[in-house]
Amino acid sequence: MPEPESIDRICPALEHEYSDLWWEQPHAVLVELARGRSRGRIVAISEEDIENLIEDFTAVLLPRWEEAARLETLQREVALLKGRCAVLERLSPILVPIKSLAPEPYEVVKPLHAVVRYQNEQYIASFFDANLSASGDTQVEAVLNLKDIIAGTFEILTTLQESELGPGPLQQRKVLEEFVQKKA
Amino acid sequence: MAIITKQLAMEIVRKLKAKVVKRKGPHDIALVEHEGKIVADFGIRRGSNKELGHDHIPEQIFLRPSKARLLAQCPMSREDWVKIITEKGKA
Repeated sequence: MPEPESIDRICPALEHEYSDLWWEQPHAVLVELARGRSRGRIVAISEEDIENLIEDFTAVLLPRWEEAARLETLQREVALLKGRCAVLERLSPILVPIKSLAPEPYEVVKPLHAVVRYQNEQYIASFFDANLSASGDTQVEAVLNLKDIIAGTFEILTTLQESELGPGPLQQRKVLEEFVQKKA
Repeated sequence: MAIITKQLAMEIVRKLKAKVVKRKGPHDIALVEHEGKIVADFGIRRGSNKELGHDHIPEQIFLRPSKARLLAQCPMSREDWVKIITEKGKA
């Protein structure tokens, strides 16, 4: 078993050998020193030496760690804001003008507007004046479905007598007749 | 997750004894009659997926989503529903 070398003799050598590693991976150097070894050599190192080394590393690395922590916090906050924006975009209702019911044989004589909102993981498009709504997995699908419902409801309600309609459907028919008519 | 799935929508159709008008488009239309008059209508999406969302139905049958779900799941009867829409002046 070789005799341990003195820290006085070994430290300048360590500093030289580890100069890059000290600043890049101080923890690895500390671990190695704490094990009492240096590149295969056995070294005698005191607690005071280790404390001094830790102080040196801390002085250099603390600002870097603080900067890294600030960056990480900012990244987390940006990700959080992005998520919130996405939720707000989904939750905010949008107004979609409907100018055609093609390919159904009906035409829109007065522009009507659908309100599309996100609810329970699906989109609901509504033409509130006529109390007509339709669901869809996307905004586009919900609007297309609403157009189908408008055409279908108009088709059915206009074939019935007014006396066959209760207050709700009668109101629907009156509103629809204001906005929709059969193509000539 | 939709409050009213296709499965529950079909339960509402059954419960309200609605007449379903088959169409070529992506929906069939259910008509609910009371005392010889159509008092409500709503679209039923085509497709075999029982989980297909139908959350548009509650407002078309003049109920809040939770009440519409109760209607589909049994506690509320057709008579209860008629009473509600009568109070709202819809029948």
